[in-house]
Amino acid sequence: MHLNKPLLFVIGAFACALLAFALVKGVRLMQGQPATGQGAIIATGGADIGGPFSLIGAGGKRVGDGDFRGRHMLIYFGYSFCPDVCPTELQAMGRALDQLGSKAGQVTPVFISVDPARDTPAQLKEYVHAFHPRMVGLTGPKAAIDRVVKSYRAYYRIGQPSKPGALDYLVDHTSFIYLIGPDGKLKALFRGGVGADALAQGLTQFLP
Amino acid sequence: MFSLRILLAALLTLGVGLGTVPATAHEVAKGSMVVDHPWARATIGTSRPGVVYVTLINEGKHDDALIGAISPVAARIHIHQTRRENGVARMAPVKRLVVPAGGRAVLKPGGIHLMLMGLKQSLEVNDAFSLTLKFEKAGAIDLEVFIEPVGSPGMMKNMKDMKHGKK
Repeated sequence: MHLNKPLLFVIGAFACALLAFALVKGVRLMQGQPATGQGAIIATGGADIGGPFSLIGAGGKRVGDGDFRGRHMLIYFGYSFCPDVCPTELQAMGRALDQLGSKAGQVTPVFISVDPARDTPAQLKEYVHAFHPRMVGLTGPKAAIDRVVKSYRAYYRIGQPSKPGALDYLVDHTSFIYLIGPDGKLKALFRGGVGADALAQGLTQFLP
Repeated sequence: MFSLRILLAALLTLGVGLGTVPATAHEVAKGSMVVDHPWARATIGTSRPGVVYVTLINEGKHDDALIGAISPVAARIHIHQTRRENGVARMAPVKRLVVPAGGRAVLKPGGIHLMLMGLKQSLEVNDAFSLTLKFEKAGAIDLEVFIEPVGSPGMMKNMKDMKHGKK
């Protein structure tokens, strides 16, 4: 019998990957982590979260909450110099929308920077497009950002740079994903780390 | 032939359970330390920091620890851990990342990662760069890090693609 080595290797690698994937899933289930959209959603108890904003989008254009009326917004607060958690959440948002199929068109993904000193509109545009072609990056004067952060019950804190004036500081920030309805009101709040699959499942429940 | 393939796949699957993992192109070993699938996110230019994820597997009988990393593409590299407390994500430095005997340390999105500060070149998709990990016992291990798109979920995606490929 002829043994095809590359083929055997592929089959073996495939089998290993499948088993590893099953193990990871199994461990997650045993740890009680959300495996479906349900556990990923935070009950907001009718809290007054969200509100009007006026920020700066691509090309220096003023963008307000009113520009999104009639559509859903999926909002994340972060900063583009964030190497780990922001790309992780933004890629989950982008991939979740990809999974929604025809419903995805109802949702505009929005990234609001809490670091306007470094995130210019032009830089943000390039950054957000890496995660989804329709993702909107918003920045603005610190006062305008502080207002939207407050109304969304979000939080951020600019860290210390390595030396005074250096632009290498880190930023602590809340990591939530907000689904805002066509009326501008909060429909759902998702935990950071939710992952694309659970986020897509969760979104499906809230989209008509 | 078909049944032989199934048998071999089953044997190899069993092999994973017993702790024998076939070597892949992404794997580097030195002594009892195995470094698997190092990958980085692409960056836009050089002003933003880069990030590297990797799995460290200690096949030895003694604990070891990752204590640092250097690369020609970055001025300095920190080991960081993203912590989420009350919904707030913070990055805390890790001086010494223990890789327990017979165990592993997994650097993955949203958790422990290497942060590359002061990039000397943009990290471009499908490119690679060299990185040296420094361990207390295993010493220095040189790697090639593959650069994936900034929006890559990393290894999980690859696994799921393989799973989907079965259908």
